[in-house]
Amino acid sequence: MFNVPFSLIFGLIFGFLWSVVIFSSFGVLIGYLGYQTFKENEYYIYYNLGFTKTNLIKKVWFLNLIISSFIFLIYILLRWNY
Amino acid sequence: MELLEITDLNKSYGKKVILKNISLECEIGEIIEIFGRNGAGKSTLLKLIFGTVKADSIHLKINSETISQKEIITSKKIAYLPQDTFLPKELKVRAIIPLFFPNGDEQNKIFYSPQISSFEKIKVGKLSLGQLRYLELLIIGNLNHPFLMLDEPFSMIEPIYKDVIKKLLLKLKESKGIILTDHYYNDVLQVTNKNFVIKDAKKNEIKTKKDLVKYKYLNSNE
Repeated sequence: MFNVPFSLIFGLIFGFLWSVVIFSSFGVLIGYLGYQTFKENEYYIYYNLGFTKTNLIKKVWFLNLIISSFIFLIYILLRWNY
Repeated sequence: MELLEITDLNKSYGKKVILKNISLECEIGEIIEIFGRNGAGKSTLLKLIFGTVKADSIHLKINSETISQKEIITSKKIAYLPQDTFLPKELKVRAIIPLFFPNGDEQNKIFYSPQISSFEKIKVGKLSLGQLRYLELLIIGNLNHPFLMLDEPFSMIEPIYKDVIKKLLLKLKESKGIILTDHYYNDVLQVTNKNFVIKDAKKNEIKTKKDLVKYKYLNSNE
């Protein structure tokens, strides 16, 4: 919700690959700060389901890393073929 | 019978002592009320037990096994209803229930609960305060956690939902131990087994409504 628009804007300014890099790194921090500021009470959903804040951040970071790697791989394959 | 024991609970913010040497026991089948004036430390007490506020000291045991504050959330032994709404406003009620209950039978238990069919297609942000509080309590209460910490379940809700919530609390206590805080003492006293008031950072037992006056929670004319 916060990371995707931030990474896309970053990509529009500095290039597509940067948006992929930001999405799996600095963007996670932006997402955390955004959620912490605007949706802090929604953390109680996850707490009640047994996830701590640290668990969540690790999971989000890992997921974003996988998505970024996948997008990067597609980008490399497309560059390779054309 | 599952038992939650809290001993040696202390919390200060700077030089201000909020809670001093509090002990509390809650077992399945009990509803315990914690009264207190605003700022007395009621919500803090529940958050300390749930583990989202760090205690200066706390000793928690569930069924005689010590559990640290850091382990409470992941242990899924204690659920917590916060004072402010925590459900995403942009989602419909029918979309929220599966987030908490992936299993179909568990979902049906919520969908077929009283009143739910009347607002299941509505977005959370459009629910009345009574509907929202009831939905939140229903969700938290139907999780498998044996103990519930409920922060103001009666707050700001219309009378018709107060009765629905009272019935729900009495049903939940058959399988859970509940600690709650609320200012609606007349409603609360109808469902609780034990009552305490926090005054000057200490916990005092309430036997009758007169004790609420004694500990200056109520004025003598209320």
